[in-house]
Amino acid sequence: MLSTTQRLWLLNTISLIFLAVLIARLIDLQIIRTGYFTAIATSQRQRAAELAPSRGTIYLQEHNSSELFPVAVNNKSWIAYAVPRDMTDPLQVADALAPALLQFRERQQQHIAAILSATGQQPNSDQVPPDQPNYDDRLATLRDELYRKFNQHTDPYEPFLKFYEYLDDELYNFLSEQQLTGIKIEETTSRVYPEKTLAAHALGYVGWLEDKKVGRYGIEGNFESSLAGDLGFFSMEHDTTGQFIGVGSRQFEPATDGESIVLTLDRVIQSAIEDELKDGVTRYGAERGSVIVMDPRTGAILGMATYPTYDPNYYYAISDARVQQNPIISDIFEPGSVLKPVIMSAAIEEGLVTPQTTVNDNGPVKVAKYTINTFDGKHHGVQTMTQVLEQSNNIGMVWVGQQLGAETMYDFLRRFGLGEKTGVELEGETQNTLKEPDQWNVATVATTSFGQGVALTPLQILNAINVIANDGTLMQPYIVSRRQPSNGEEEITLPTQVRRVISPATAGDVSAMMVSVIENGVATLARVPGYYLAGKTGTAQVPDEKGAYSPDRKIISFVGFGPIDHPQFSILIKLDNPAGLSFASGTAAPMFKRISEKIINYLQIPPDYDPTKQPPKFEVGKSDQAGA
Amino acid sequence: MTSINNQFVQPRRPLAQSYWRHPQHQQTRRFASISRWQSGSINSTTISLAFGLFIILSISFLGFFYLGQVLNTASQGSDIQQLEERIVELKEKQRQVELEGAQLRSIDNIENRVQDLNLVATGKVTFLSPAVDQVTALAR
Repeated sequence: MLSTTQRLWLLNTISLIFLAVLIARLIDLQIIRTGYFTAIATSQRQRAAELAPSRGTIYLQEHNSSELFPVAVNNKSWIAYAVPRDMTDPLQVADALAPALLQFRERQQQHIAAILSATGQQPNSDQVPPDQPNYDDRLATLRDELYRKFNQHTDPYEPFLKFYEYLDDELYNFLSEQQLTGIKIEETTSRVYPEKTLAAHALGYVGWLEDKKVGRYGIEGNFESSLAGDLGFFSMEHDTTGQFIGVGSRQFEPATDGESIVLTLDRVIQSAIEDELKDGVTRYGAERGSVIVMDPRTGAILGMATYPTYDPNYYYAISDARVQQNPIISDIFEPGSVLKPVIMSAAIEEGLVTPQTTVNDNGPVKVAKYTINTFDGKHHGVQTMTQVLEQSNNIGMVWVGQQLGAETMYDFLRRFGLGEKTGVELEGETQNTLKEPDQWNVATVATTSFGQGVALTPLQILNAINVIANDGTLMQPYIVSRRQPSNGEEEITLPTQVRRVISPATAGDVSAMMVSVIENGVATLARVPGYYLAGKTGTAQVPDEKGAYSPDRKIISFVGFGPIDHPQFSILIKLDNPAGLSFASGTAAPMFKRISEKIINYLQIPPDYDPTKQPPKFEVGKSDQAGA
Repeated sequence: MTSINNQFVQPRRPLAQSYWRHPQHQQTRRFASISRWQSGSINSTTISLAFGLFIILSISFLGFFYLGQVLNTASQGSDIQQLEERIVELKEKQRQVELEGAQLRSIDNIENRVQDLNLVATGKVTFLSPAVDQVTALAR
């Protein structure tokens, strides 16, 4: 039997041991493993997320209006996907989903077909469905496909829509009502173009690159980083109900929204040229067509259209990826006779010729191994330089080119901005090059003088013609009028003079000669009664795969500006391979007239003479006199 | 009654000293000391006690005040969150309205509406050139 003292000692010992264990456990929990439990506690009460910025809006303007018209904005859309590991009965889900999904896919196919038709595209073989099995067979096939996807018990994610598809109202309502197990609906942000196909090639679209949305082509592509903005970060403690604790620790870095961009494109002019272009391509049976309208005094692009086009809202509804490219800046072609005013300007500027200088056209000429003839095979004897342009006489131009020589001609082509990128703010501009003059031979000089043997983009050509309209000064073409950062001052683009190319006198002479092309020459169908407009036709041959010129393919073009006293617009029209024996004088020239009439009415430009009366005979004066 | 003080100051016999040493009378002795302070002079113990009480009350008051402020701020966190959610909701509504407006004003929509309204496209435009002192009006 233990004594009292011994019992007390035993009790003390046991208590000390118990206390030691308790202290050891506390040390373990609160000191040794403090990091582990702190992390658990933090994860329970801390919520962190990236803050997505809003993509900037793109606007168009109208003449004499301060109103801005959004053409690229953001919208909330819905996507859906499956989580097979949450499904208890994948077959039942597949059975329920298949009919609605089949109808959704059929609606999508019909919508794509409608878009292809409206945008002038021909569906390719993948888009023309073969003879389809009946509805029940298609439904059974889809059900099996869905069941195969859903019958994976550990799979956390299985898409059943294409990566670019969003739910339409019907499918969204169905999924919301049915609440199918394992089917998740998620809100996301999509890019919407309220004006649909308007200015599609200038805008570009927002598509997918790997797993990220990025702008492609046009303004969306060129300004991707500034339109997208910067991500923000947010971290804050919350209580058990999910409410944020105001006095808790927090980190907050706000997202920077993307900047908004206002384009120089005029909404009315853009719509007018798209309508005319669609009509012209259809009427003349061309493979493709393009129209550009610019303000020659500033270099601002007022309209830029290509047909066939596409709808950026459904950028995947295309039959050929080429339709998304902007040929106005990316396609090079041999311009043909529309380059003649540039060559003539160089010769007049160098003092080699005047508008009244004559040349003898008695028939085809041989240059090296080549025989050069007029486009219509006609020869008119003694011709002035003005008449050479009026009749688009290749023989006269060859003579002018020979007066200039390779070095001078090359020099002027470069001074007119040809053979280099214009630097316009659009993604996809092609860099073309001109052969150095030491690589030219006599044939190169001859063919270049009437626009063959040199490859340029439509924008380069019109920008060069603008030099003539703008009293001899080359301007920097631009399409962005203003940039509006979300947290900064607005930046306005000012017109930029690149350099003086020719003198105002030379520009005046060539302008008058180009007016004579419309008033007295082959382009009379381009005349707008009451107005003196300058213009030049072009019919260029197209090389085939072997490098020789194809007898069947050609590019028709027309370039012009007006009114002559104070040019407010310049236009280039290009048609690829119009059907039949068509020349620019009968195709592109009338298109120029219709577009010019609309622009003149829109800009309210008063006439140069009374259109109801017989116009006076237009004659190009001597080089020290102004116009006619 | 003979005052205790007198008896304490002038013990009449040595045996009186053992009176206060007896544990039973220790308490009385203490109170005797206290009442000696109360009779016309401030007791240091009293001041200490009062000061201590004041400190305790102050700390308690400040503590409750701080707790109240913290709880109030914490609850405002949820108010802020609700306001932020409301802002997001209103911004979303504004964005929706702007999008609908853009779609209504689109060229495509206007062209469709024009057809429904049986409007006629303009033909030729005639510019009038009135004399300086005249006003020109077009009668319909």
